[in-house]
Amino acid sequence: MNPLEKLYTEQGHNGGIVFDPRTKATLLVLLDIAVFLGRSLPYEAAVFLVCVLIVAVGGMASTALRYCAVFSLLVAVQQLIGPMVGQSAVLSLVQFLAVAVRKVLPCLLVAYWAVGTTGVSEFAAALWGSGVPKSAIITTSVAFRCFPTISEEWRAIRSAMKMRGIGTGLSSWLFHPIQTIAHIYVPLFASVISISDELAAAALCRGMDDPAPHTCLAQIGLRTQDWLALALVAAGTAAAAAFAIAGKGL
Amino acid sequence: MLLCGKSGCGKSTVLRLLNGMIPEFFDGDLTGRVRVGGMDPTTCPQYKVARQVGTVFQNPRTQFYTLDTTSEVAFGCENRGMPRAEISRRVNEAAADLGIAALMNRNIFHLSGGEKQRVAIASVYATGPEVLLLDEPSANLDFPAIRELRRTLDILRSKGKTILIAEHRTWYLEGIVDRAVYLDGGKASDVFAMGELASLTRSQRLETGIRPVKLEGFDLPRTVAPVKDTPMHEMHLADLVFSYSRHAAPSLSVPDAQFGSGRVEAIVGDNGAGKSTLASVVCGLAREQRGSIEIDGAVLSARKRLPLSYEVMQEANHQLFCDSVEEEVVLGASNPGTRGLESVLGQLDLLDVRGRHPLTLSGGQKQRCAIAAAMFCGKKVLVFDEPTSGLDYAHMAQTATLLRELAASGAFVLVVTHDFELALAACDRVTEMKGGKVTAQYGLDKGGVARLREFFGIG
Amino acid sequence: MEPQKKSTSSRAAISAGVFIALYLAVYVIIGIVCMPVPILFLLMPALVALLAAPIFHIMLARSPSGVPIFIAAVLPSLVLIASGHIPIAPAVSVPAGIVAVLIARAGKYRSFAWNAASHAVFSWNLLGGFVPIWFMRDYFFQDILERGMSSSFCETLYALTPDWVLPAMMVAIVISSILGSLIARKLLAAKLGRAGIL
Repeated sequence: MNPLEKLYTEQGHNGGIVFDPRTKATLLVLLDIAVFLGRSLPYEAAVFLVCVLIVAVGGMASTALRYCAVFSLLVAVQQLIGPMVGQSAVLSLVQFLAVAVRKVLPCLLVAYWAVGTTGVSEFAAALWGSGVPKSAIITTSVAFRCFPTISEEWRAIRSAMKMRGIGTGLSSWLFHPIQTIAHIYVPLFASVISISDELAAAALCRGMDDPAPHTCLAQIGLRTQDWLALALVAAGTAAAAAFAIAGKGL
Repeated sequence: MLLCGKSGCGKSTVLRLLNGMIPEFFDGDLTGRVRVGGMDPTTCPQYKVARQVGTVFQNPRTQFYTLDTTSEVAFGCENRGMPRAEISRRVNEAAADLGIAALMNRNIFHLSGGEKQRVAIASVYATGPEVLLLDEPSANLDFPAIRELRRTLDILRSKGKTILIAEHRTWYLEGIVDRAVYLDGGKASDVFAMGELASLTRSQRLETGIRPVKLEGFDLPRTVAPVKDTPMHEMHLADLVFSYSRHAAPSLSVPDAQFGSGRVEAIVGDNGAGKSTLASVVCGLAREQRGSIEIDGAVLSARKRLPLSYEVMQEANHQLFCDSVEEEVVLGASNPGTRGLESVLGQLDLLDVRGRHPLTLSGGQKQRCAIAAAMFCGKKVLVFDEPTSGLDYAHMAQTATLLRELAASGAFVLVVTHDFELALAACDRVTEMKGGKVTAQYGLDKGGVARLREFFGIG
Repeated sequence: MEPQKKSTSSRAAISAGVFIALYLAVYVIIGIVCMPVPILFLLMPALVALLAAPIFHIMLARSPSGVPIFIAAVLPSLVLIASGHIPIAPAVSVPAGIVAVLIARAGKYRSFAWNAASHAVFSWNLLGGFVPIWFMRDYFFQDILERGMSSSFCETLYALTPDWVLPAMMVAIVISSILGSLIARKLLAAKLGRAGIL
């Protein structure tokens, strides 16, 4: 599946504890910071385990387990070839990659979970709930909404260009770059502008301008589990930061 | 109530006046007064109008604001700041009332045209407006979807809503519409009862642009009888298989089919039957995984088909690239000659607008401009995707004539269509499609017409 | 008229959203084309800057405000995160977005020169995806040097991604962004004007 497509599938609840989208975002940022605060393997493993725990509790236990296996594998690779690294450039490269991937694994896991368990409507509700200006919410949600539509337009225009023999290939970009840009952009802008007008008409006719406070069907809110997770992770990160500042690298 | 009349007669203008889009979106001079539910939509703020008047737009591509059906239905209520429980109740109620409970919680991009149209109606219905405006709701729908639409409209009517529909197609509205207002040149020139609409004669129809109420008694005579003799050139599709991804089941699988040049070939089938895929493959825009396409016995690969073929898309804006009609027609031709240009422009009635920018033309002119470009480049295979959706009777008849002329010039003319009236008026042969397969091909003689009627489920 | 004004702002917000979607589409398409070839990969931000400049100018013409600039700057980095990238890109894109907004505001979002300058800075948001190359490298070297390993491999790695590449990319982005702005003004404005679009 195209990674972007993931964004467009509405998520059902998968049995785990439900966290508010805002909690997920904050956890992601905190854990990212935490990862880079220490350098020892035990510390790294500890941060990783925290991430695994959150994700498992949050309803993606099997994914968390899979990431655990990858993490162990990467540690094993590093330990095995560590002593021989000086001997060959290939081994050094392998070790470099093993360490690099391992370092980002916790962030990847949490990001994957945050995106995978948050529906677009929940996300929008979280935006409304956090006092983001109305125009920013409209712009963001329209951008997400229109991305697939624009991709369709793009494909249609490319087909039309092919049928007319107007090159979109490398040679036309090299020899007639400006003309090529014009050929792509004139129909593209024409359709983009008509899309935006029609969309605005449809949205306004359904009361988008209503001054009444906006409400949301999707239920979000900071509950006990949110505060608990936030407090624990924040405390841990703060402690790690304190150690780092005191010069006692973990 | 039905608003009808030729394209450009002012139907949309009336709807825009009623839902407050004028003067919000469109500038112009306005005299007189409009009253809807005790207010004047032209001066009232848009959101107040929105509480009373719900509008369903023509283009399903752009009338959705969210990504899934449930939030879409909730959208209007959310804007009005209803409490969560109330929104939830209304969404469920709208889904139950309109019989679309099965469509809830789905990705909007995965819905068919008809399903989209019903979700759009539900999303308007959920906010509880008294007046519903629908702008050509059937324009992009196939026959089963139009029947579903009819059922939905019937439910709305039984709920006592005022419904105003601007539409060219009238056959599916019998028994739903009480009155029809005929607009001409921006004036409401006549009011018909539905029964009167049915009894219009052909010349009245050509004059008024109203499409027939009963497809059974369709009366547009052909200018030429269906061509039956062996065509000059023959296109043969053998064991053709195409799928969009390697793992998915094939979207198209045609063991054997023929098309002839000099004829107008209709390709019919419900949405998702593979008509557009077939068109893309024939034009060489998509490469077949297996099988071959031959013209007069010579196998042509997708790469060789591409320069020979041209697809006239529904959205004409996509295929216009230049600053003037003339440049547009010449673009991509290998040796442009002035004489040929004159005759092509003349044939397509574009001489008057040859210096204008293509994007400033009317919809029909844009379409003709795209066709002119194809003809000038000497394309041999012309594929039309729904050329008459949203056209009134007179323009449909015009397109029918044009298709006949193109076929007479010896090209392969393939027309993907849901338009029964067009098929009868212009086409010589029918290719039925179902589930990615060609299920039948037959000539449109008397027996063929009966068969096509059965396929569409008419009468 | 008061209500009129209000819907105009919502319309502008919707319009901006559609243009940002177009920007994202351009970004993704160029990304797909450039990904497999290492040199093109490093040129990708410059190419995006060149081709996105017209979108940026028309977006501001339709929706003169700082909000869309900021959102357009930050969204690509969020897309990177969502598609499994290291979540560090916002550290670059957020400041780039803020500075771009400030520059465009100096011309009230309507001056071509200020907007062009704004776009040049705005386009640096794309560097967010590349920062890890340097960031991770230094982090890693610190790591292995502390453990007393041979530094020959480190030198090879340094040679592959020399430090000057980053500033070179920044300069390339600015140049191609300005080029894109000029194309937007000279060519597209005229063509789109004739088409009755602008």
